[in-house]
Amino acid sequence: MSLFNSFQLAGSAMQAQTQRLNTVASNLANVETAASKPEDVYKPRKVIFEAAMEKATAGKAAMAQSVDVKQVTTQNVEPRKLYDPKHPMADEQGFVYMPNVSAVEEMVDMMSASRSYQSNAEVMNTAKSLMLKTLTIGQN
Amino acid sequence: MLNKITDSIQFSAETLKLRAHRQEVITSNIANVDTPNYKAVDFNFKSALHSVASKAGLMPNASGSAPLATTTPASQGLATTHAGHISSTGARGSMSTSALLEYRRNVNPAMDNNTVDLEKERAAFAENTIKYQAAIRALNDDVSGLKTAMGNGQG
Repeated sequence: MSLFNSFQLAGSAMQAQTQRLNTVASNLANVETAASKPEDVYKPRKVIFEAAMEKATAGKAAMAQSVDVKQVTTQNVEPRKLYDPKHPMADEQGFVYMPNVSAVEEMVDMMSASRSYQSNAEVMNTAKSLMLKTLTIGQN
Repeated sequence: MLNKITDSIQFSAETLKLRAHRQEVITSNIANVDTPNYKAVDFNFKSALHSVASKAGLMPNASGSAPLATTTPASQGLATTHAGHISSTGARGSMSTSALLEYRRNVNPAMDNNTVDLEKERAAFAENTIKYQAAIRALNDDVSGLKTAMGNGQG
């Protein structure tokens, strides 16, 4: 039954978007996490989605069965180096290292994730109402 | 007479099945709006319905008013003289819809090679939702017509 697959598909997409939202939260929460060594600085994370495709007929396209998070990558960006000798985490030269998280970028990512989540929730609601309507065929 | 009504019911049922499948296909596009390298897919509803209906002997006649009742008995299909031949009968209403999908053309891929246009997909989703409901209504009308015919004419 096709419409049941819709639930699974939209559900898995919502799960993937939630994980993306969690990643954004993690990046934003750690925007001021100082470290005294460049290696110890929090690195911003990004999720990468992957579609599990149905088996395609030769010469034809295939649709997705579900959407999953393929991997969570850490971005190797240079940490911000701040001169702040009074900071408790400062090294001998008086520098502290901050993660190079772009708050603007993360906010955009957050909005994109929440919009996609909403789209999928709407798809689920529509599928549900269509299925309920399908159950009433022939009852009038 | 009953044949005509049941054919009409079957035609509506095939439409409903295809609509449900298209709903799933568009769901797949919407779900993968952020998936790198995903290509938006869809199928041509008109030709899909045409192929399903003609396979089941339900094609509407030229005026398009009502589905034409099948005149050939179901046993009168093409002869299969080889193991690899596909029977022309027996496929009634059991066509695999997965063989219909095509990639959307004339799209601008994003930086990650994703070709889903969310606005277009949502519009197609809304359109397909309405048409699914229309197919349900057509099916309901067929059923109530059958009920009327089976009754004694007093409603």
